[in-house]
Amino acid sequence: MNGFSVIGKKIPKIDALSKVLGEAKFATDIYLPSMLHGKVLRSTHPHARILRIDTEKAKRLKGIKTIITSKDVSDVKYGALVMDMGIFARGKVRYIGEAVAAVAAIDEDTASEALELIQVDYEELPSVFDPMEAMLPGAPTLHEDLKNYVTLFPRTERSMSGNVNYHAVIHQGDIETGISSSEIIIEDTYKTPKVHQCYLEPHTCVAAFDSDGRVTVWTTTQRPHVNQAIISSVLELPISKIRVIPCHVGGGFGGKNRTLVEPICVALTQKAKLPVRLSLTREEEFTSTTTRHPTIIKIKMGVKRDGTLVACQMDLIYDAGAYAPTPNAVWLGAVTAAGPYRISHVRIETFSVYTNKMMSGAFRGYGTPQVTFARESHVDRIAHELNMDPVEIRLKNCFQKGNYLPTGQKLVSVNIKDTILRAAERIEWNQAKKRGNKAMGISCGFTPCGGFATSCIIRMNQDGTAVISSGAMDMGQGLKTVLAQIVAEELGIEVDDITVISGDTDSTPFDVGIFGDRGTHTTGLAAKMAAMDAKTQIFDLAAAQMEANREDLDIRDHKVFVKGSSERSLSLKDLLAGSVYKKGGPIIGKASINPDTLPMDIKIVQGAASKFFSTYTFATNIVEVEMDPDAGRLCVLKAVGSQDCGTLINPDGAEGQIDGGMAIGLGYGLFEEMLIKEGQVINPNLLDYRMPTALDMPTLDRIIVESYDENGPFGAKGVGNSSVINMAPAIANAIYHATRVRIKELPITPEKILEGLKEKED
Amino acid sequence: MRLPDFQYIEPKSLEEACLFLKEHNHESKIMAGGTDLLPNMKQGIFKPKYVVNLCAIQNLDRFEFDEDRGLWLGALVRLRYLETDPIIFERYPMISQAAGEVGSVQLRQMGTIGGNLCLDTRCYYYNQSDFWRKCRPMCIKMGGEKCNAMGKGKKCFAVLSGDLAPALIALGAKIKLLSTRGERTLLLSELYTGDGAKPLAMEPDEILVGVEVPAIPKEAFNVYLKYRIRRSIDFPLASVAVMLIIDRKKKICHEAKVVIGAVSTKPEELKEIKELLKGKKLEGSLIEEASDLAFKAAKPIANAGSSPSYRKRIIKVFVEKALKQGMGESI
Repeated sequence: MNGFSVIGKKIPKIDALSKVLGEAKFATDIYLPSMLHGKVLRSTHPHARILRIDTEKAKRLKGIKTIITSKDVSDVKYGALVMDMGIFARGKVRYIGEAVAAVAAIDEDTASEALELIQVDYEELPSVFDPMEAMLPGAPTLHEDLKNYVTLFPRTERSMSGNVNYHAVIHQGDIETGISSSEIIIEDTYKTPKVHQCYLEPHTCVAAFDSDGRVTVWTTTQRPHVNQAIISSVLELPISKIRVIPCHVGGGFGGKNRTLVEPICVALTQKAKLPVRLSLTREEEFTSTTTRHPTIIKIKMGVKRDGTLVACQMDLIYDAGAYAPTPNAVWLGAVTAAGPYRISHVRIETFSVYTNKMMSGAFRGYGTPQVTFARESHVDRIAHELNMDPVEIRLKNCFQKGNYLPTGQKLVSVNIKDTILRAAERIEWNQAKKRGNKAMGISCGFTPCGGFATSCIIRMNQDGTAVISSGAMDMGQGLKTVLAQIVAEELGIEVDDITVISGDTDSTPFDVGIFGDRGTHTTGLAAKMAAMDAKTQIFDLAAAQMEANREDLDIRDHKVFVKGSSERSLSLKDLLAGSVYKKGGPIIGKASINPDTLPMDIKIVQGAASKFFSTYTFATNIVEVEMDPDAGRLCVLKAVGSQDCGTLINPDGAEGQIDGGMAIGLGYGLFEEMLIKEGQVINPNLLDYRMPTALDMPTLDRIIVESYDENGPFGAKGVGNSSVINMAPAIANAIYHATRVRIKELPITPEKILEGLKEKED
Repeated sequence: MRLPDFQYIEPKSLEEACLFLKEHNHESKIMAGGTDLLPNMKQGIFKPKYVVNLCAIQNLDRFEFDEDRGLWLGALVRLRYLETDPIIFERYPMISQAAGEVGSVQLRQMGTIGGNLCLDTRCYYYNQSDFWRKCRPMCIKMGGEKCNAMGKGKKCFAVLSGDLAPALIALGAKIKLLSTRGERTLLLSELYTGDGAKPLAMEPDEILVGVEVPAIPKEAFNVYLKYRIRRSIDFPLASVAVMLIIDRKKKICHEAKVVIGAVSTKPEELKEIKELLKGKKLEGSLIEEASDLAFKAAKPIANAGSSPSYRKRIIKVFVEKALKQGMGESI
């Protein structure tokens, strides 16, 4: 981009060196004197009443300091939008792996031994694992008192009844008219599996009280301030008595956007009166944290013979597992379901349903990868039915500037068309007709980006350098670097001049958490506004000293100068030292925002889980696969990811996100699935739950299509979520081109392809 | 997960090791690399009082090749060595292939041939933590009475997933076992009992000290094909080792040894294929017939990744592919 000095530059992540050298502290590096080690006793039943918990034997074990159960903690329920979780199971357990009790001991082995000595008597209850069955009358009920739970969204008639904890409808135009005016109507059902984020670093937390009754919590999280608030509500401590220090995060991808271990750890600390460390095993990660929702998606699309999409009706069933504190993914699935297309008649109905499995939650893409797989497979099918090029049908229908989503929200910035054109050009789509056993597939999609409360403080040092305090977390995605680039650009200084404090609740102001591509777009906007606030104060100071109009001033290269006559300038250093020691006072810029979006029309939208996100990011992926027709095996040879991410802030960061997104997307497409039998995860380890290895990755190519988002800092949007969603459907579509087999259920395994080939023969 | 308590023993000689094992046979586990043993111990599958690491015993990693006598591979020869040694690559390519497809480079650097041959059998319902296994009745392999994978039955179906065993059985390898009672030599195929719960025909005090691989004619063809879901790390879900002595010009097959692996409790040589192909001209319909026999012989159950029907199918595809390759067809 023209005219920027820092934005758009390949600036290395500011914490890269400390990570490479092993200096960066992760929660697992925190060891305190006299620290105890916690362990959690977990349910062995998918659904059972707890009759009795006998801790007597465990208490007598040498080295045990504390044992706690639901009796030792408040019965406050917590969650983000549905308050349905407690620290421990109370009265009954609802999935295998649910926390029932916890111990703290002098070492991990003793703590583990103590768990063996706790006797829990259960009375088994009937379980339900399939969301469709869970919706039937007479199905076992997970939460008997559901109607009385506190919720923070408008309830429809269906929500919070039976096992349905959330329900929403989006109806744009008139679906009956749309279907009846279509020339071709195609209907089908698609399914997606339960998959885990598989961050490298397991949940780990250390908590310690000081003599003033204040607790410090070192943890790994995407949302330190919300964590602090939840610890406050469930442990009935004032927020002022809690400090959350988020350490470097060893991967989050949505999985660290819940509060799972901290309340247990603090409760243990409180009772033991000694610091406690609690770290989950990989098996616990796979049985007791959160996942992406499995879904069943019914879709009916109507088109004209010329390829115009006329109607789209979708029923989305999201399998929430045993708790559903945040149905946001379910709502965002509905928002993005019909895709980046102009369709006059859209009806989306979405359900979140309790089942006796570990809970679903946030995972990169936040409800969107599931609907993208279903819809893009379906659009591809329609293209073939019409004998139309799959690229062509997408170009014909895709959003343009000024278009509206089915929810009625106007798009701020959209450049999906160029993502398609450039991806097709790069991979030479025109030559993409099936060659031997090779073929290509395309997918387009979009994800919500930004919004919700955040704040930022910028303190100017007397030498012209600056400190940014943001409650937003850098979880490895590079947010600190991006914030520093934004502020450096605004203040005419270098990234090196800036220190970024991210997330510590004592030294940063509130942020609601990093999810939904909020980092660059929203917390970046707050940083820019705080920098503008600081700049205004700097200009006020300078105008007086330079005898110039403040409107005529500009800032660059560590200097304030009069526009057009750069010899009339003052160095920031002189100005700011003066403000500290002589006149004016230290300069502090601040911003506190909660970006507004227009209210929803309740005739169109019922049951929205949240207000609208600020904007949306768009992406197209094209892959080339090679098939082995004898065995149904395939190899993804090439993948190109093409993203509309607004103004590009850091090319290395954006490309890294796109590569990572394609790797996660490929795993979702080909390998990953939590296999659950009778409510028990049978592959709770990284050997049997298969993430792609480096050898499984195709040659990756990325294209960054810039647009300008007027709500984002310098026009920027996010790039983290939209890079994930297209790989699975693009691979499925390529397989169809190669074999004429349509895969409707992820992951795409050789056996499914072979079955499809057999069916075709019969 | 953490290792349970154990005492670590590092004998300096085979005699010392044998004496120790005589004394503590049921309380000991032999370690020859640790890449299979230690993860199993972390999951609480084994809680031995003693871990007897063979690593300090000299000459146990000896490798010898003689044109007439063939190969001697000491039990501690690293898989990475087998993968990269030029002689093996040239004369016994299927050993290189099988070794090179085990786990990852790091695991092959630690893992040994002895360890790989003595791999414990695996099952979704067995290779789990103590806590996990508590959620179901105890399975046969853990001392219980039920097979959780089958849901019924009195037999354990845990899978022998070693990559080297099928290849070495196809080559007619023998193993040497040593204890205080002396040395005995077995055909490698005799090492495997076919009982998933107790897969190895070894006494707890016996040490596998090495493998003899007979010399094979230079014109012999041999190949190992492995099915796994990812291109690294994974255990085989089905594998085929084929050794052919063949007159390529006339396409006459003098001898055909086909061993299938990772689809049941032991690697199995398919003698019926050997008989079918002996002295015959290898061509389309015969190859088809042979691969059908392999398809019928493979009887995997749902206790590992992929599906039993697919694993059966891939056995057939692999046998066909290997025989065609043996005939010199480019695949």
